[in-house]
Amino acid sequence: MNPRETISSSQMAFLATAISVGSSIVYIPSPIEQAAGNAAWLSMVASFGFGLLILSCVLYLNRKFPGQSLVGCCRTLLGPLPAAIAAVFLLAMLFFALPAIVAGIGDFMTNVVMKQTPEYAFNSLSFLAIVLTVRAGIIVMARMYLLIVFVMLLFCSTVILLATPLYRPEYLLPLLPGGVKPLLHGTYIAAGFPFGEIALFAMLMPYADRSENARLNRRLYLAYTVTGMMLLLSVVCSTMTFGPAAGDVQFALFRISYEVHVGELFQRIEAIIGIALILGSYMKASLFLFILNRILVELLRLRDDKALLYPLSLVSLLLSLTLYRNPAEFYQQVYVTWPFVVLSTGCSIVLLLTALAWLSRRTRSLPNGRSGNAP
Amino acid sequence: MLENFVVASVFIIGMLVTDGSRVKRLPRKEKWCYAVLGLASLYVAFLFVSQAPWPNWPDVLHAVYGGPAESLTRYLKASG
Repeated sequence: MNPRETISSSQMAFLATAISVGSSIVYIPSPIEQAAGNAAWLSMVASFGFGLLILSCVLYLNRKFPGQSLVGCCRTLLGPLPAAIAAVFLLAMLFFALPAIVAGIGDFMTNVVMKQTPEYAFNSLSFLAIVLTVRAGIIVMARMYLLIVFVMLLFCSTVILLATPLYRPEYLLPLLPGGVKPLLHGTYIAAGFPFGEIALFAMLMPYADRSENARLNRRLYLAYTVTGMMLLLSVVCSTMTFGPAAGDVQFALFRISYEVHVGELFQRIEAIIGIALILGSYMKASLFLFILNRILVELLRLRDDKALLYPLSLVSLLLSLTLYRNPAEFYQQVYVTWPFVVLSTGCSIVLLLTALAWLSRRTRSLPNGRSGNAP
Repeated sequence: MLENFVVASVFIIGMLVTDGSRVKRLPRKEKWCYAVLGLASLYVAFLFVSQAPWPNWPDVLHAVYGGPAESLTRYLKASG
């Protein structure tokens, strides 16, 4: 990493929003509602709490090991071999996540917008934009995302606001008709995708400006709360619009925007949700490619940190075109396997490191404490 | 199949043309990593062109995580 490559706390906050909201604001309502029914919003609240815990761990590690990434923390606390194993598992995660995000763009475009165009046209153009963005560096990304995150959130908020006449709050009841298990199922999915993915943000912490550490924590919590609120709103609005059928509506926010008719001025505004989805996916995929490259550079101690960007993108592009054989398989991968991968690998590594850092601090401070109390 | 072959060739040749001169100047370790990723690209490109049901990356991930993930989901889906 170039030591001069640091970004401000507010830019870090926008990056956190980009990595958490990404495309999930459009995707997430349907699987959560399918799993949890009317309790979908409760699942979102519970999984947001879990996400906050992971973010707190990431910030704690940043305070204990300033300037070190997740792999660096692993190396310090566990040693080189366990750090290498952890890095390989993180790479395995990202080699699935990155192609899946771009496959999502291609899937959306070929199913909803341009049905005759082959998927590789969208995936290849997306990857071209993504790799050029990552090559430009984290500072350029941070500056650019400030505007893009704002535009994305504005578009989504506008649709949520304009769709107010469609909402039927009575659809939110009864709350737990199927018991607690559906609620836990929804929580499990949302805790993995998207809330638990904040664990990967630990790889970006070395780029934060250390002189702004106090403000950084406050702004990251604020950004994450805004993210949680937006995702919660999209789930609640989807339930209030489609009722029991909400679980079967793919791209819920897109479908809501389809139904918006305010006079003759605001009609057919679904394009802006399409734009939000593509912008969100683009930002998240760029950050994931950046993190993937960073892990490889740190794992193999490469001198040229941009040498592998093109081949990494090529592998990911080809993976995005061969990721699944049918939509059911994609659903299985993203909403059954992926949450488990995030929770058992990304989140577990962060939780384990936090526990070890806390214990090592205690074991180191005990003798000092005793000597301090001694007469 | 022919369409996919042309598309995969364009992707690979495009990358080599763009990156070729830079790769020559890379340190040895970076060159090795580049070659390994190149081989992985060729394998996935073969899957893309032939549509062969050979193991792909998601299959590897599924082999490692799929069992416990499905058991957990099955347990949470069960009524009561």
